[in-house]
This record gives sequence, C-alpha cells and structure tokens, in this order.
Amino acid sequence: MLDDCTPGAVIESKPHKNWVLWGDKIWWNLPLGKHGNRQNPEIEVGHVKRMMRHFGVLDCAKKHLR
Amino acid sequence: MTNYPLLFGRREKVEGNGFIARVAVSGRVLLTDEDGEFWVEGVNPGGLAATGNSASEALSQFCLDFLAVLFDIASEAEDFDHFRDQVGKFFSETSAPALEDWEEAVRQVRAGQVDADWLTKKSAETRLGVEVTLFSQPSATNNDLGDLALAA
Repeated sequence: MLDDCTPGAVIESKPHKNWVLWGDKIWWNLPLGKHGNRQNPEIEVGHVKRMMRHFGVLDCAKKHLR
Repeated sequence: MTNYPLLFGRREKVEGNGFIARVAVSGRVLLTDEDGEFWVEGVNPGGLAATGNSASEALSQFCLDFLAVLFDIASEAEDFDHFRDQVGKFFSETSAPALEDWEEAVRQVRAGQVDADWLTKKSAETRLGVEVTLFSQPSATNNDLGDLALAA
C-alpha cells in the first residue's frame, strides 16, 4: 500500500514508535512494523487509515484496506 | 459517528542528550466516537492518533503517545536547539483533513448539535502554540497537569 499510495515513503524505527516520512509530512506514531504483527489488525487498520488520511491519499489506501 | 473538537494542553519535561526541556503545548485534537470505538487524532500536533474503548482511554493513550514522540525526538536530538526545532516541526505538522473535521465539529457545538458535558468549554479561537524552554531552575510553580476542553 505504501509503495502504491505513498511511493518513496520511508519507515524509521525509533525507540518508542515508528515514524513514516513521506514528502514533507511525517506520521509520528505508527505502532507496528510495515506490515503489522497481526495481533490486533483492527487497531493497525485504524492507524493506517488515519495515517493515509493525513498524507492525503485515503482514497488510494481504501483500495488496499477492503 | 460523532466528532468532538477538543483543545489539548500538556506540559511535559523531557530529558535529552545533555539537557532537560520543558514542552508546553496548546493544541487541537479531534475526538471521534465511531459506534463505541473512540479515536483521538491530532490536528496540531498532527500526524498521530490513538484509540481506546472509551473517550478517556483514547485520550490517555493519545497523551502517552504524544510523550513517546517527544522522547523519540529527544533521543536523536544533538542538542537543545535541535530538539526545540524538531518539536516545532512536530507541532506544525497540521493534519488538513482532521482540521476540516475539527472546524465542522466546532460549528456543530455552537449550533447545540454536539456537547460533552464532562468537559469545560473554551473558545475555539484560543491561542495555539508550543513553547520549548531549557529547564534550568526547578520550581514547584512549573508543575502543571495540563487541561482539556471542548472547543466552542
């Protein structure tokens, strides 16, 4: 999804959270790795939806979140 | 789904590499009740969100995540000036879609369509900002629990 909707986005792992950098925007608190650990997929999807909304690409992301 | 426009005030102390900083933020967050699943989304600072099974749980998690981001920024800041610049960038990361919803929610509060009687009300035009200061003189008067209010 990142490759399709936010090409060039970079995930940086920090001591407490992951940052996702895309263009001049940053999502500061992605709780899981790039593909999540699937222990709580609902929370992961919710975070990803909001992150993609912040990046302005929610419509693209919805194709992947169905 | 109901959106609540909130004003978010936090005062935190953060240790960095060779400094202690005080971060005082007056920001905006959007609280959303999605059929019993609660989300808090930052407007300023933007670019972060938290969830919970109740409004208070989601807000508590948001406060924790806010602090975690400050800790992450501190962990790689070379010095105080770098930390202050990065925190400023964090606060300025306005979430445009969340801001649009926040402003619409303010209109609903003013029209009496949305209320949160467990919160005090403050003007939506309350001044926003972040202040990062070098912490050099400890004083009890610096202690502050922060606050939360419904923007109206």
